Amino acid sequence: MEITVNDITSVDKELIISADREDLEPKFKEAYKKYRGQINMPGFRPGKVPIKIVRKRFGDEIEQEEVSKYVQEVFENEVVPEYEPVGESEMLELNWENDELEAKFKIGARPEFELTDLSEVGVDRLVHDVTDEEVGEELDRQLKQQGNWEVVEEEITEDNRVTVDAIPLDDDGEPDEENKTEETIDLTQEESEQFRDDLLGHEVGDEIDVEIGHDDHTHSFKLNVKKVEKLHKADLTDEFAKEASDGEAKNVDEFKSLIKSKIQDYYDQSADDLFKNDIIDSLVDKHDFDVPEVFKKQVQNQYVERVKQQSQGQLPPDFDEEEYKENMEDRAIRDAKWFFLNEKLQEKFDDIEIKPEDIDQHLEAEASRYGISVDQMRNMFAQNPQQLESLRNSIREEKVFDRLKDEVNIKEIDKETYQEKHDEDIEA
Amino acid sequence: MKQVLKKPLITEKLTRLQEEGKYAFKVDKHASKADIKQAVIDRYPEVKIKKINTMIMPSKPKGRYTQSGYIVGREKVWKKAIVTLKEGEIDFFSEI
Repeated sequence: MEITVNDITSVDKELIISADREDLEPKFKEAYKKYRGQINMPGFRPGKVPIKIVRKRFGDEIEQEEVSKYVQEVFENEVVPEYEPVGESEMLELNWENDELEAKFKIGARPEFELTDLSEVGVDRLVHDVTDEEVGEELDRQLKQQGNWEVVEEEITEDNRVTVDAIPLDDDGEPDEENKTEETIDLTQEESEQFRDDLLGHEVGDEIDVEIGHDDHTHSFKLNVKKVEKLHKADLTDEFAKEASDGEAKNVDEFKSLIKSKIQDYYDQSADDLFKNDIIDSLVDKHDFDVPEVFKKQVQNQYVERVKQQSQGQLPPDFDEEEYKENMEDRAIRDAKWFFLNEKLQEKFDDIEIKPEDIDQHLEAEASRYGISVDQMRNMFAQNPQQLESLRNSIREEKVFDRLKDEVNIKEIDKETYQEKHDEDIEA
Repeated sequence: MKQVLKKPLITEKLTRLQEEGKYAFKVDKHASKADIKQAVIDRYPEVKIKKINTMIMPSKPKGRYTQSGYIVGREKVWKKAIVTLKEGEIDFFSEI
């Protein structure tokens, strides 16, 4: 048996496993013995079919199966420990002809690169302290949400909700009464903008002609105003505060600080996510190395799997898998690069360790997210070692980010500057 | 006689006999030893035949259970030929 490796690129290799009958004969003999006991042939007692006959009748199938098993064994026991392939190795060919075996694989090798000086990596970090104004806006939104609509006999203003009969007009401008529908238009909402100018200043009983534009054509309607309503916001009382916060806040002041802390949490979490994203982008930009083709494909396949999971286990009917993978190629290369960078960073920060309390903390968070007890969550993970491993990986990654915060050059910027930069990036 | 050699017979006992150079066939009931010899030489030209033994295999009763009861019948009478070779080998599986 011989293993030869040819370089396709610095990270993509072609690996050939070659062997002859001599290498495989012991496996074949064993297989024939095994199948002899299982084959039922008229004229023979079970297990008494001569090996010669088994070989003649079922030889090809048995040998082909054994050849596949042999190749798999060699790959697992010899190739994996020696060459440490990354990604899903691809079998290109498997030939068993004239007592000669040749199995060709495309494997990925771990890219070789040096980590750059992390202090040279600069990343912006969004820092935003929630203002009283933002708290006020949120409070106002909640008061409106809990408020009541009261029918008024006034001219329509921007704060009103209007109920109309919408009658489509045909090409000659004649109303089509059969297709009349009742519509409620909330003028405080952005999506009602197209009606706003037409409706303002009118009152109940008025008939208004409107045109609604769609891409390259328009629809004409006659609107009969039936009802005008005005929003009465809910009163900001201690009672309201208790109800809206599910009892968490006892009075208005507590409710305000609760809102503030929630918005602050939201900003901190978003800032953290954006920071992680930015740091990955910066590190990927700073390191120039190739990723193995098979690894990139594996990442693309994971994306497709994710789409599948999101649409109840099946790809949408009009989903073009190849096109999707092509569109996601840059993203896949970025994620693949981050995988190797993350590995390198874990090597660098070799004192990172996962303590039981880290796992407990994550289990608690997961449990509260799914609304089950921590013990139930623990059992779920215990039954699924793969899931536990992925949890460990995500904790490890989290700790890498924590360490990166100390190592890279962070420039704190406010919300507006961050937004400007973000918009510039998108434009670029 | 359409076909003299109907099929080779492969069983545990007859496989044992193959080691002694004896090969068995189901043959046409009316085929003579000479017909059988010729047919074997035609199909396997590389072998030389020493002798041929034939036997008529008797009919045996057989039956099967159906919805309307047990149907009784009999197997057909058939002829078995055991061909002993002087030299050469027959590979029944070469045509598979």
